[in-house]
Amino acid sequence: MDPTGQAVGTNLIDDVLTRLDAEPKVSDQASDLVLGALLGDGELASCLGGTAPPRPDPKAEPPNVEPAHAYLGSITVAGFRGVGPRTELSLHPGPGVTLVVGRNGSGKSSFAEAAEVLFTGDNQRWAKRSAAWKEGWRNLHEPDPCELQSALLVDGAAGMTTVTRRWGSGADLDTSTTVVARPSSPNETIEALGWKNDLVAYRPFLSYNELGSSLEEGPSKLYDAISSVLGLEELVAAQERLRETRLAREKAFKEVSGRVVKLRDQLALLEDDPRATRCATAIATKNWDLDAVDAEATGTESSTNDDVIALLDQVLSLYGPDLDEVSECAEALRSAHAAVQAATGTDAERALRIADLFDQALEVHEHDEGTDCPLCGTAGTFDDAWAERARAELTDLRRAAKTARDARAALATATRTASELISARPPILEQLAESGLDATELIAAWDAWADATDGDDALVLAEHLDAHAVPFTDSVGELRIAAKELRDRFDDDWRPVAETLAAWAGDARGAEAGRLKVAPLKAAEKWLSGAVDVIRDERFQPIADEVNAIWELLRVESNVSLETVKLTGSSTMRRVSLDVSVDGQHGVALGVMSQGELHAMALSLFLPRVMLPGSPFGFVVIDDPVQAMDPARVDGLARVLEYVARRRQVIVFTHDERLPEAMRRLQLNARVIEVIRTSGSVVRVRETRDPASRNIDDARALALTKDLPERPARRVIPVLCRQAIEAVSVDVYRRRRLAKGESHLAVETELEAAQKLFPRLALAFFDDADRAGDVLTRANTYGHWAGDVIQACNRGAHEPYAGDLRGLVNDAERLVEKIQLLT
Amino acid sequence: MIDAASAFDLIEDARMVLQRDVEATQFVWPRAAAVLGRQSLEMSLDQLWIARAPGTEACSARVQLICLSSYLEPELAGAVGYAYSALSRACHHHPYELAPSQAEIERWLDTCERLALAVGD
Repeated sequence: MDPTGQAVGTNLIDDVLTRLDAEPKVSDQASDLVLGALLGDGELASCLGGTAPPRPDPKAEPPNVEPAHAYLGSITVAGFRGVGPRTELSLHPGPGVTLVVGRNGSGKSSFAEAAEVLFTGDNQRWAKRSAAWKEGWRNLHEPDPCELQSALLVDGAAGMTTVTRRWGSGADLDTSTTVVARPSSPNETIEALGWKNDLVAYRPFLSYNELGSSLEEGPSKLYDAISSVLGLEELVAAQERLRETRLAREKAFKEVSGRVVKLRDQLALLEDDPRATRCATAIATKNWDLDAVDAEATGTESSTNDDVIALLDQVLSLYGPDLDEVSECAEALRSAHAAVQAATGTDAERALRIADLFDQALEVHEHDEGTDCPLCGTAGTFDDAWAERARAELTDLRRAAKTARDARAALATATRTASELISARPPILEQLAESGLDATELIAAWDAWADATDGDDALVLAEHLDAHAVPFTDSVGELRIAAKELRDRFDDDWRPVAETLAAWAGDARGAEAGRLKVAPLKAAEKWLSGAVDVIRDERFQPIADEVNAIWELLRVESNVSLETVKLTGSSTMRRVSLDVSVDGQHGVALGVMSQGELHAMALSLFLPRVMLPGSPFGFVVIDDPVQAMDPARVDGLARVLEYVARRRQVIVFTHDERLPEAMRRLQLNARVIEVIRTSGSVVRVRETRDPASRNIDDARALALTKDLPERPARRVIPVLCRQAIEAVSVDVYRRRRLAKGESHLAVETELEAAQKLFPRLALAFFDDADRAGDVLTRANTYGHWAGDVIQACNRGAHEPYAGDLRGLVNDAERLVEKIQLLT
Repeated sequence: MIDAASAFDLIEDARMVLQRDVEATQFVWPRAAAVLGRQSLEMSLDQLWIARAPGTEACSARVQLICLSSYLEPELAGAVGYAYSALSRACHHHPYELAPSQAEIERWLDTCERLALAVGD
C-alpha cells in the first residue's frame, strides 16, 4: 500500500493538450478555447476575438521531485493556553511515533494547538468559535511572555531551523511577529518557509474536533480539503474561466432578449407612427432585423413616400407664391396691356410690309434714270423729292411697328409669368385626410388661385393675382404650421423610443455576436471537465487506495466496509463520494456510522494526504484521535500510526493510556511523553515507559531522594510498588487473552471487575480472578521474597511500611519482571 | 504502627508533597499526595467509629461509607464518600487512566481535612 508518486512537476497543461490532440470530435474552435482558457483570461479573450493563442512549448520539468521534509525537533510554549512558564516538548526529529499523554487540562493539547498556530497563525478549532472563546488563548496565570517556538530539522540541511512566533504584551491573536532562523540565514519571517499553500493542501494538523466535523461540513468542503493535494487548480481555474465566459455571454443575450418585450410594448403605444410599426415588425420574431431598427432609430434612411411622416414632410415643403413677385407680375400685366392698347391702330405687319415696299422702290429709284412711276406710270413723280419723302416715311413706319411688337411681347411675357405663379394644386392635399390634417380650406384657396382660365384679358388676370395671392399664401402657411405641429408631436413621442431602440440595437448586436461563441464555449467546457475528471481520477487513485488501506486497518470489528472513494462532480455539485456498505449492503449513508467510525473514516481520508511525496512536512500532529474509539479500533489506530510513521514523524496527543497500551501490546515502537500541569499553569513533560516500569521508577526515585521526609515516604512507596504489580498483571492478562482472539469488550469487563491487587494477580497467574487465595502460593514459586513483597504492598496501602524501602522497590521490580514473562 | 502520625499530619504531608518541584520526582507527587490523603481519611474514619460506633471500623469500606450519613451531616458524608472512592482509585493501577490532576487532589484533601476536624470535635 505504497502511494505512488503524484504527478508533482509534470506539466499539467501539456498533459491536457496532449489529450486534446488525441480527441477527434472536438472542433478546432473549441480546442483553441480550451487552450486559451488554460493559458489565462487574456488568452481566452483573444481567442474569442478570433486570434488563437500560440501553443506553449512543453516544459521540461523533472517529474516527481520530492521536496525536503521538515521534522519537528521541539515545540516550546510560553504564556499560551494551558501553559504558563516556558515549557519545551522535546521531540525526535525524524520518522516514528511519539505519543504525548496527559489528562484533559494537563496542557497537552496546548502543544498541539501551539504547533498549528505557530505555523499557520490560526487554529481550526478556534476558527469557528466565538470571539469571547478566542480571548482565552493567552495563559491566565502567565500571559507574558507569550511565545511559541519550534526547532525544525530539514532533510538535507545541516543544523536546525528555529521558527518563533511571539506576541507583545496585550496583543491580539492576529497580531504576532514571526522569526525564522536558519543556519544560513538568521532572520527571516515565516513566509520564508514557503509553506502557505502547502499548509492548506497537506495540512499536517488533525484534531479531534476537525476530524469530527470534516464529514459533517458537507460534501463540497470535504471535496475541497481532499482535492487540494491533487494540484488541479490550474485546470479548475480554466474550467471556471470557460464557464464564466459562457455564462456572461448567455446572460448578456438573455438581458437583451428581455428588453425586447418592453420595447415591443413601447412601440405598440406609438401605433400611429409608421417608424414604430416598422421597428415593431423588425423585432417581432427572434430573428431581429437590427439594420432596419438602426435605420429607423437613427433616421439615416429616408422614409418611403406613402406614410404619414412622408406626407407631412411634403406638406412642409409646400409654399405659396412670393407676394412681391405676384404684385410685380400684376403690374407688368397692366403696363403691358396699356402699351398694347396704345399701339392699337398700328398694324405692325402691314407697316412693315409697306416699309419693305418703300425699301425696294428706293432701290429701284437709285438705279433708275427716269422720274416716271414704274408702277402706275405717272410721270415725274418718281423723282428725288419723292425719294426724300419716302425715306422719312420708311423710318416712321419701322418705329411704329417695333413699338407695337414690343408691347405684345411684354404682355406675353407677363402673362406667362402669371401662369407660372399660378401652380396647379398638388394631389397630396386630398390624401391628407388620414393624417389628421384638414386641408379643405387650402384646397378651396388653391382651386380659387388656380382658376384663372378666363384670364385672356391681362387686366382681369392682374386683378386675379392681386385678389387671390394673399389669401392663398396665408392658407398654405396655415396648413404648414399645422403639419409642423403634427410632425413635432410625432417626433416628441418617437425620440425617446428611438434612443432606447438605438441603444438596444447596439447591445443586441454585441450580444448576438457574443452568443455565436456560446456553443463552442460549451463544447470546450464539456471536454475540459471530462478531461479534468479523468486526470483527477488518475491522480486520486493512489490516494483512494491508501484511504482504503487505512480504513481496513481502522475498521477492526466494524461491519462498515468502504468500497470506493471517488471525487465526483464539479463546482456546486462537487463531493467526495464514499461508497460505504454495511454487512454487504451498498449505498448506505454515513449517518449509519457511529461517532468512532466517523472519526476513523475521517482519519482514513486525511492521513493519506500527509503521506504524499509532494508535502514538505515530515511530521503530522494528531490531537486526541482516540476519543469515542472503542478499544479494538484503538488497536487499528496504533497499527495505522505505526504505518504512517515509517515515513513520517507522527506526534499524537492523547488523554488516556489506551493508545500507549495498544502500541506496547502490539509491540509497535512508540516514544511516550507524559504531560502534567501543576498549580500556576506550570506544565511538566517527561518521557516515560510502561505504567509498571514508571511506577517502579517513581518508587525508586522517592526511595533515593533526600527531599521526602521518612513519614510520607514509608506510606507512599509501597502504594507505588503495588500499582506497578497491578499494572503488569493487567498488561499480561490483557495481552494473553487478546492474543487468544477474545474480544476487547470481554477482557475489559473482567479487568474492571478485578479492582484490587490479589484478584489482578490471580488473573495474571490463572486467568481467574476468583483464585486470589492461590496467589501467594503461586508467587512463592519464585521465592519467598515474592510473596513477601505482595503482602507488604497490600498492607502498605493502609499503614506505613517499616522495612527497607529500597529493598522493597527492588523486590517489586523483580516480581514485575517475572510476571512480565508469563505467557 | 511505626509512626504516630495523626490524620492532620498526613494531610499536612500530602499538601507538602504537592508543592514539591524537584526534577527527579515531579511526576510522583500527585499520586503520593493521594496515598497520604487516603490514609488520613481512613485514620479519621477509624477514630470516628471507635468513638461513636465501635466495631464498625472492622467492616468493609462500603459498609463504613453507608453508615457514615448517620453520623455526619449529609453534605460532608457525601463529600467524604466521593473523596474516599476517588482517592482509593488513585491508589490502584487503573487500565488506561492517568493520575489525577493537582486541582482534584487538592479538593479531596480539603474534604479529608473537614472530616478530620469533624471527628476531632
